[in-house]
This record gives sequence, structure tokens and C-alpha cells, in this order.
Amino acid sequence: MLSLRNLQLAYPSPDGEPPARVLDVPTWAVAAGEQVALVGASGSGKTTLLNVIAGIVTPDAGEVRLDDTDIARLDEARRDRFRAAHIGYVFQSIHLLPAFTALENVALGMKFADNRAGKAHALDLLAKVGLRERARYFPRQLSAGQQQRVGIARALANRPKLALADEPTSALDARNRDAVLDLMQKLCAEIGAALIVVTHDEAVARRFPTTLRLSDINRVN
Amino acid sequence: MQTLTVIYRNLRQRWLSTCLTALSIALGVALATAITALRQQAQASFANVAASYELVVGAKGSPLQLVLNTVFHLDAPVGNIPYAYYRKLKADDRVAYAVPLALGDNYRGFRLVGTEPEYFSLVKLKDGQPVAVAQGRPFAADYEAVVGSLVAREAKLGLGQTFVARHGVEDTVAAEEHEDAPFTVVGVLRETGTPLDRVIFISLGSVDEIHHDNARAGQQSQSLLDQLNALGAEPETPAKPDAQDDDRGHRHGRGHSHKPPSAAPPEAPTAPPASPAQPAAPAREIAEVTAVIVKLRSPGYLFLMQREINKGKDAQAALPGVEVQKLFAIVGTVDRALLLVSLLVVAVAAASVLVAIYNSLAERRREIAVLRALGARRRTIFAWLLWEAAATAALGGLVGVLLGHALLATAGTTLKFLSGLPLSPWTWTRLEVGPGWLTGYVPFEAAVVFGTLLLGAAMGLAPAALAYRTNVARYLSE
Ligand SMILES: Nc1ncnc2c1ncn2[C@@H]1O[C@H](COP(=O)(O)OP(=O)(O)O)[C@@H](O)[C@H]1O
Ligand SMILES: [Mg+2]
Repeated sequence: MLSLRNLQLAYPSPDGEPPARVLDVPTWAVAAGEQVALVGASGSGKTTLLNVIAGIVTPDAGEVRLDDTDIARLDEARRDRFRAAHIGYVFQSIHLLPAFTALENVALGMKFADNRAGKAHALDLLAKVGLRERARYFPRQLSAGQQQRVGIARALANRPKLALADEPTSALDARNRDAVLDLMQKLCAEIGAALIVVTHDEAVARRFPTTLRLSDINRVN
Repeated sequence: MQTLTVIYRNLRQRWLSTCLTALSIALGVALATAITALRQQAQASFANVAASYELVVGAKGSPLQLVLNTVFHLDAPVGNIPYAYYRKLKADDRVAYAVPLALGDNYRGFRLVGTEPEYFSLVKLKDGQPVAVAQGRPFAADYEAVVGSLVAREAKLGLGQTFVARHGVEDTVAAEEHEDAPFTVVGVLRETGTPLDRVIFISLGSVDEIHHDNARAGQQSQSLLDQLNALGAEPETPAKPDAQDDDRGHRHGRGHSHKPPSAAPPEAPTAPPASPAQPAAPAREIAEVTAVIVKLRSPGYLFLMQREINKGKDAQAALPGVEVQKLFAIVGTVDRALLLVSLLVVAVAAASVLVAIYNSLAERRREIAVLRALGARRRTIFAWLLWEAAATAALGGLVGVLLGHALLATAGTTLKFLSGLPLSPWTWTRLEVGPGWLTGYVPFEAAVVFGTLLLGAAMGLAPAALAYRTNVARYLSE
């Protein structure tokens, strides 16, 4: 389902130094519905890799194929639309929008994908993450664990083929961490979405059936 | 989720900045709205009243002042004309009716005006109906009075009540009560919505009587331009009926009956002459009147008659409609200056929209990056910010328009020169600038709100462009 080929990315360096190479991935594939933990040290390029897969960062070369679509070759507007419809993104620092309620944060995820499933669907998702009663709360009124559960509901609102999670539990304590990971795994399995979680935390990695080192697929480092 | 909800949420998130920005726009818009609506309504009201009077004849001097004094019961009289002149007008074949007016003193700021009872039946107001005594009867003798509806209400002068007049057309501390000669109210006029509501009508003979043994200097009268300049200071004036008239009295005649044509208004004697040395006239011999309201048998005579009178040395004839137009040409220049000021206020306020949105960007870059990561397109973010700016400004426009009309409602009850002229503060204002297809269908208020919307959107362009260029990857990791 997801396949990367000959992916190259370097960030330009200040003052004439050669560009800093971050990604060089000859090949990597994730099957539909597969759940993978990708472990790497801080600064090893985990976030960059997820951003490339999500079409937020364009690689210098290579293919990022999701089923039949090479995201790296879409123009920006199409990439945005593709991301809205097919990729769910759970962020490291949670990133709920403070001006919107839990329900509206989920609804916003749907809006960009032209998902007309409506409020009932969003409420349903919140129920699945155990926050049906907190639907009208604003992020500041929710705990970190609750906020990340809203983040998960938002990422999965459009039934994406692929869910990406960037250190989703780094802001949480151990108990919340396990609950959030279990929830994410359960919901992705339910909708058949593949799940890639990147982390530097072995405790997170241990909870996944498949664990890879970033260095296993990335030739930089 | 509706885009409108998104805009609302984002504005609410920064409600203080939104409110302050909108308020600053509202102030400018309120000023512009109040000024425009006030001038339009005042002009319509004045023109409406003026239309009931075809021609007014009075002493030589400023025709505008003559009209203001005779028709609107404002300002000091220009002077007096001989009673015989009135008789001559009345006898003229071309004249349908001629009604004399003689300015008397005041009772609690309401002017006493001497006239003939036929005023109430002959003069037809804009509604086609005569002035008409609604309660009681017209005065039939000296020291009987017919009061305007507002006088009856505010001075509590019902039928059968008596009152004693004070000197001058205005009620000042200096004004003394006449020691004797109380008037009795025998009639109350119908509510006309014109300055007549504020007038106390008495017989010509009573006016004469008042001045028999008094010769007293009043205060200097003010020119019209002084009054216009004083408008700005208007709110300080207490709104009680006693203070309704401008602070100008009139001089009681001092020996000579009428002034030369070129005499300045402040010098104008307004009451029939009565030298202190002279003994009181035994009979009701009326020597002078202040003005004569004339209606001609055919409108064809109008300009001929006016020319004829103006050529003579005894009097001038003025067309109230024309004088009101002149008045508002003067008002218009003051008005335009104020409008310019309010436009400047709006312009400065509009810049604050830009600043507000720009400042909010610093803390919103991350939110914008998140939205983009969720699949929002650049141009969606751009449009949202534009709408935010536009909505903030339009909110200011809307509040401003309402505030402007609220100001107008207040002005109607505090501005002296509008007393007796009803304002309708909650009606649409006419759009005066723009192409005909626009001004014909769109009221001022709608145009202003739409204008602020566009202005706000324009102010949102620069910050929206910055938001458009947000580096998603960078702000996501912050
Ligand atoms: N926008 C950027 N410009 C330049 N260098 C960057 C940028 N983003 C990340 N980097 C660099 O790329 C490397 C990988 O960063 P990142 O993908 O965030 O790593 P990780 O998520 O594994 O901590 C780091 O050395 C970082 O400094
Ligand atoms: Mg990272």
C-alpha cells in the first residue's frame, strides 16, 4: 500500500556548506492495515520522514506512493486534498486548535476532505475515544490524555488509508501512553488503516508487533 | 462545519482585540451616520414645514433670518414693518390671504406670537389640513391665548390655565415677569409636528399691550452662522423646556418705529415702538407687525410680487423653500468637514484591523500549520483570514450604524434648532454619493456596512498573504 523508493532529502545548510542530508531511503513498504513502530534517536529524521509521507515536505527525489498515487508528484493543492482524504496525522505536541471545541476539532478534520458525514459521525468518533461527554469542551478544558484522544479522533475522522503518529505519547504519562496507543491500534484496525508510529521511546515500540529502526531503512547515519 | 463558524470561533478566541478594533471603526462610522442622517432628516423636516408657506414679508434684512423667525420661530426677528403695510398686502387683489405675526415675549421659553385667529383656519400644513384649534376655541380677545400642543404638554398649560409672560423671546434670569396682565388659555392647537407646537398665539393687541410701558434692552441676537458654530456645544444645554430658545432676546423699541433696510439684525427692534417718555396708548392701536404670511391667488403672481416688494423700501419678501435650501447649503459645508473627520477616524481604525490580524499571526502560525497538515489548502487559510478582517470591520460598521442612529435619537431631543421638528431616528438614510443604480436602491447604512466589509478585507490582504506562505513543517515542530 505505502511504498517509498529512492527517497532523497537534504536540508539546505547556512553559508555555503553542503546541504545536510536527512533521508536516503532506497525502499520501504507498509502493507494495508499494518501497524509499525519506527524507532530512531532525536534528530534522526523521523518527523521529516512522516512529513514527506504526508506530502507536507517534498522530497528532492524519489517516489512516495500510496496505492496508485505518487504524492511527491502531485501539485500542492492536490496534495493537500489527498492528505485530507487519505492520511491521518497525530502530532507530537497534540496540536488541537484552541479556538474550537473537541467536536469542532474533529469536524475540521472532516471539512477539508469534504466529508459530509456530519456531526453525528464526529460525535460517534468522540464516543469511540471515550469523550462523548466532553464534545463541547475546549482543548484547555481537557487533560493531555484527553486532548490526544481528540487528536486521534480527528486524524481518523475521514477513515484514512494511512495513519501517521509522531511521538504521540511524548506529552503523556505511562498510563495515558498505554491507553492512547491501545486506542490508536484498536481504531486503526477497525477501519483497516495502516499505522506508522515514530518514536525514540523503546517502551512505545515494544507495544507494536512490527518494530523497525529508522537506520534499517534510512542510509543517512 | 460552516466557514462562518470557523470565522466566529477565531474572532471569539481573540475577542478583546476583535471588540476594540470593531469599536474603533464603529466610532467613525457612528459619527458619519449621525451627521448624514441628521442633516437629511433636518433638511426634510425644514423643507416640509417651509412648503406650507408661500411667501413671507417682513423688514428689510436677511431673508433667511426672516424665514427662520417667521416660519420656524427661531432666531431674532429682522425688524418690524408698519401695520399699514400689512393692510395694503391684505387688500391686494392678487393676495388670497395675508396673516400678520408680531413677536411678543415668552413664557418659560415658549414664544408668544401675536396674530389674527384666521391663522388657524387659513394656513394649511403639509398634510393639507389647517393648523386648527383642537381643544377650546381661537382667542377672541386680548389676553386670551391659544397654545401649541407641546406647550400645553410641557408647560402644563391646559384650557383655562393662566400664565404671565416674561420679557424677551427667551426665558432668562434677567427676564422679568410682567407685573400684571396674565393670559388665559382658551385653546390648544392640534399636534402638527412643526415648530407651531412650541408657540403661544395671542392677539396682536396683546403684544402691543405687553410693551406699553416697558422699554428694556434685551441681549444681542446671534447670527445664523454663530448658531451653526454653536451646534458643536449643543449637548451642554439642558433639555428642559425653559431653555429651548436660543439665548437671544429682543430689544424693545426705543422711539423709532423701524430701522433702515441695511440695519444689522442685532439692532432689530421687534416690538412696536413705545418710547419710555410716551404715555400708554389708550386704545389697541397697532402700529407695527413683525412679519406677514402671504398666500397668493395664483402661483403665477409669486415672483412678480416678490420682486415688487423687494424693490420697495419698506419691506422684503422671502420664499421659505428657497431660504431653507440656502440654509442647508451652509449646513452642507460644515457637514462635509465633519464627514471628512469621521472618514479619517474610520481610516485609522481600519489600519488597526491590519495590526490586530498581523499581531495574531505570531501566535497562530502553529495553528495554521496544523490546519494545513489536516489538509487545508493555502487559499482556504488566506480566505479565512480575509473574512476575519472583513467581519471585524463589518461588525464595527454595523455597530457604528446603530450607534449613529442612537446618537440621532439623542440629538433629536437635545438639539435646540430641531425642537418642534420630529426626527425619525430609526429610518434608513439616503445614500448620496455613487452611481444612480446604487443610490437609488441601496440605503446609506447598507452601503456603509458593505464598505467596511470591503475595507476590512483589504486590510486583511497583507496578513493573509503572510499566513498563505506559512512554512508548515517548521511550525508543526514548534
Ligand atoms: N526545516 C528544517 N530546516 C533545516 N533543517 C531541518 C529542518 N527540519 C529538520 N531539520 C534537521 O533535520 C534533522 C531531522 O530532523 P527531524 O526530522 O525533526 O528529526 P526527529 O523528528 O527524528 O527528531 C535534524 O538534524 C534537524 O535539525
Ligand atoms: Mg521529531
